[in-house]
Amino acid sequence: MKQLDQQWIEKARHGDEEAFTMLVETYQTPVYNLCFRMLGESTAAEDAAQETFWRAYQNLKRYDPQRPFTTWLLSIAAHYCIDQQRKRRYPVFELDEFPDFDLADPEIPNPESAAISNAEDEVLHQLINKLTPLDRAAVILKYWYGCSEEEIATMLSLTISAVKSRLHRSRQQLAAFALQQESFSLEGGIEQ
Amino acid sequence: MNHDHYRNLILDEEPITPQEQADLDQHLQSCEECARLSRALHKSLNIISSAPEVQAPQGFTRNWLVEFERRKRAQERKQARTLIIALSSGILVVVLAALIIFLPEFSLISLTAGLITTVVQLAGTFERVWTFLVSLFQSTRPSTLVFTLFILVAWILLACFTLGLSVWKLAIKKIEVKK
Repeated sequence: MKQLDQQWIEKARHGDEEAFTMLVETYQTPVYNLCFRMLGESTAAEDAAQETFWRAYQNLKRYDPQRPFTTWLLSIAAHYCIDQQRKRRYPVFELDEFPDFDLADPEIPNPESAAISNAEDEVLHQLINKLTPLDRAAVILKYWYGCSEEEIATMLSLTISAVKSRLHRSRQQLAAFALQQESFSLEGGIEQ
Repeated sequence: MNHDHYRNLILDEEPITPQEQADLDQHLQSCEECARLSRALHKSLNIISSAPEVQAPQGFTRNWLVEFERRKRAQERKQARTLIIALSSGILVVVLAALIIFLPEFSLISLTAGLITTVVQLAGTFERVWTFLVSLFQSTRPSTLVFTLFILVAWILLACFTLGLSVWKLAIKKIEVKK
């Protein structure tokens, strides 16, 4: 964590709203990314990210400065997204919601690379959607954010053995899904 | 061949010894099933870990500022409501307590006296009923008592039998309906 971030955190803890806005500016992408990967939809992800920052602002006094601020924020975001998914149950992922495909974006890739990205994202979200909300959070924190099992346990309020067991089960499901996809594509190839 | 052992080595991602790694590599060369599992897992994990970070939408901070002001106002309104409700409840409780203590019709002393009188009267009634039952028992002949007891027991047994019969009939009917 940068020295500047620590100063903003300290100021925000003393009620400085501008300092907290600077923290929002700095940490919006990791928080939004987690929410987007968890919920699979941009509007819900933005709402979840806003809610995460609001909860963080309200509980800033309880933040332990010894702990990385990102980990603390991601923990709030993960808990909120898990609750949301349990309430709403997101069954499918809307590909139209991908910001990469926004035509107004001047940095839009060419149609060929967009098609590849589209297919990759589809596979990715098919994979992620197979998992339960808590397993999904564990997998995202492990493989996207590179968190250790101890960190995931703290962030998701689980024991380390529970995290290991959830990751084992998730890897099993992910491998099974990939094998299933492989057999489907093989069958498709034979039929063609 | 113990596939479960190798499957666990593949899925657990725990640190393994060089000997275990050599065993696993050898097993993967000879067992197509475990090799496919390993490949499939690595493929899935590669897709997940290589996915790009999704940037927050443009104007996120601006939206945050708007949302922050809205939530802060809502929270202030909620706090004001809570304070008004708490104060009103406190005042109501104080007024009610004053009424109960100071008004002659509702005074706490008269209420307590009324309650004690009622309890004493109720106890007296129970005592009279008990005395009547004891005197009835003492004045009745033993043969009449035995006969009454016999009738009472017979009546209870008959009631139990009727209830049992009804339940049994219902159970049989249920079975017949199912058939």
